[in-house]
Amino acid sequence: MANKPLLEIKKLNISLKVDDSFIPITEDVCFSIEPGKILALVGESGCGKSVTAFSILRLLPKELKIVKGEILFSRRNEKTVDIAGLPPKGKKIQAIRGGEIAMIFQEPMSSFSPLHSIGNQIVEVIHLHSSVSKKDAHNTAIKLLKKVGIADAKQAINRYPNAFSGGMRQRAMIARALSCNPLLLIADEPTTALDVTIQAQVLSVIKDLQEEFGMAVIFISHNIGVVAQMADDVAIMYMGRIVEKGAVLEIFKRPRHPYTANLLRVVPHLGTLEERRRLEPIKGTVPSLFERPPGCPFGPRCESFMPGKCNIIFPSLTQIKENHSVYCHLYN
Amino acid sequence: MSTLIEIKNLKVHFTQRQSGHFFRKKEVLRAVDGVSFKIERGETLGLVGESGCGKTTLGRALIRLIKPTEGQVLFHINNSTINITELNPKELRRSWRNMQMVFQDPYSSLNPRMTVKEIIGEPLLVNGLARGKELTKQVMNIAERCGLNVHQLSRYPHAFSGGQRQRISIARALVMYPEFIVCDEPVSSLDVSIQAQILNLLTDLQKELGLTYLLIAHDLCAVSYACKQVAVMYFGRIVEMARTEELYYAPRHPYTEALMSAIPSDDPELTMQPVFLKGEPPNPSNTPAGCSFHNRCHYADGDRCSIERPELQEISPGHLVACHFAERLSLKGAQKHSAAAPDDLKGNDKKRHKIVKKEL
Repeated sequence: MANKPLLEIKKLNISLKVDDSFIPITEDVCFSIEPGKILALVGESGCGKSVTAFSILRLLPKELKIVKGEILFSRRNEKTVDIAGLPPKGKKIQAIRGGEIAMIFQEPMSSFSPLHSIGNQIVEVIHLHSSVSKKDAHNTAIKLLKKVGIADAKQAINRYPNAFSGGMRQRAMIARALSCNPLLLIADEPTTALDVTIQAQVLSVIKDLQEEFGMAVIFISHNIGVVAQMADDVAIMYMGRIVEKGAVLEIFKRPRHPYTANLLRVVPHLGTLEERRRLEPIKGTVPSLFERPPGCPFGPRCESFMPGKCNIIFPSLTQIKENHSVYCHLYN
Repeated sequence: MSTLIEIKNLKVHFTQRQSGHFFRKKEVLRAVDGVSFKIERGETLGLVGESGCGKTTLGRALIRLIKPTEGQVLFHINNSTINITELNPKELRRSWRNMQMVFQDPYSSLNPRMTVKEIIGEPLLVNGLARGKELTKQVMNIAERCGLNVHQLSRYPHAFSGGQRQRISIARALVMYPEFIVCDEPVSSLDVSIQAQILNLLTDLQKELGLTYLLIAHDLCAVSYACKQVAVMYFGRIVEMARTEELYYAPRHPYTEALMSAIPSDDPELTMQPVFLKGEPPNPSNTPAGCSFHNRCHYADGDRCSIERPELQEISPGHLVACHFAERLSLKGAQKHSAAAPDDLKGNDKKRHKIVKKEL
């Protein structure tokens, strides 16, 4: 059986407070990740993958509330803490943020201060979580920049973020995220804004460092190719629900949920060039969060829709294999 | 196959003055630096390249939304040839009835204060082609063809989703039934499952209306789906152009190799083996001498490549490359799949998973 999970999300329900009502954004989200593994969260805009990721570090704005559920994190001192229950501005979560769980974002420019040098911003993180000397922190920052492949690290450390290209900024962001040797890295669409050759370099850096540092990674992406190359496991999300999860090879070769199968067929990828097949779009569009369909939210767009079942209740988990489970009435 | 558009040595240079200096230095930004190619009637030519390579500038210069610095754009239509670059403003406006553009951002490319009907109908009105009932009829016709609900045409753009707004842009581009459309990143701002809808729409309309497209995109997979021919741009120049399969799986230019080998395969069993480029993209105001790619190229010889600029030449039928060593190089392409497409969900799936369980 597998290792003890590093992070376990149990029935996480996050809702948006609008006037006096609560609109569900995620519903009963459950997944876990083991130390040293890479899990991809896949889905289209509005499926709740970023909201879930941000909630792990309690970085959600106050309108988005964790209404129910647990975020169990196994800390470096081997104690398990429920992040969902921690005060969002308290000392414990601040120690975890950057120190044990780090995050990188899609737009590196918006997560760096334009008024401080790159080196300054990496050293700041180091000082927040340890009491090393200025000189040692400075040297660690240089070493990290070298590790992520920034040539000329000694000069780079004194430069400002706007002097870097997109790919370099992304690498500097990775260096900062790794400065305290986190157990878990959350990467929210880190290469979506990058050109394909730069993307390949950044992904290679993430993979190498992940192996070297032995950290787990939650990788959010809608790019099927990137997920196939990077992830060990994948969880597919639709309208705030996990619909299928498991080992990436298993899910990609033998998808069980209609949405997963559709998604894999509809996204333009190299395979379609070889197979010379026409992409068949999923009929309809994602409904607005204010008009959530009853039961399974994918029902109205699903070719296997079963009235009287799919529109009444959301399906419970079916375990297909050891590392493959699906939420679908076809398998109940 | 007849040629619809012929581009000859097109250049778009932007001159920037360095202010704050005693001697005002002029810096020339060579966005498009000598591009020549042809687009055949009824074809979709894909134009790919990374940020800053000049592909958007080229697209706009082609229909003279930007004035080219040098070169010619010849449009062969109605048994005559028009040189777009030499038209006066009145003639240019007339020629735009035959050349249109679809833009990347479906949010900023539609006037938020006009109804959808007004947006789509504007080209007809401005060109004196239709008014009143006739205009409404033509607008409804094209809107329906583009998959829009004709009962929603009196709404404003903000009431529509990104994919629908892109359909509005396409309807607007098509309402005068042009011959040629430049699609500048038409699907990159859209959700992945909507991209297929829009790409299919463009392809279907092409067949129905005999359209010719230039599809500019940085998403190599979307381009491979929609285009039979693709050109690769680097730093203001075309470095390679060929049929899609040949370009993707058997490229002849080192830059194309870097691009194609970097595409992540959606088959988890195939590991990526990208060819990483050295260094960083050069400064657009400071074009290196010789081949603009040589300082990042693994195959550059340090001599000829840094002095002599390679010209685009036909290396095999329909395959053009600009590289001194194209004949000798054996390059990597995109990865081919080792397995068939993922299973469809069919009735026998449940049986299948039972069999798999037995094997376990």
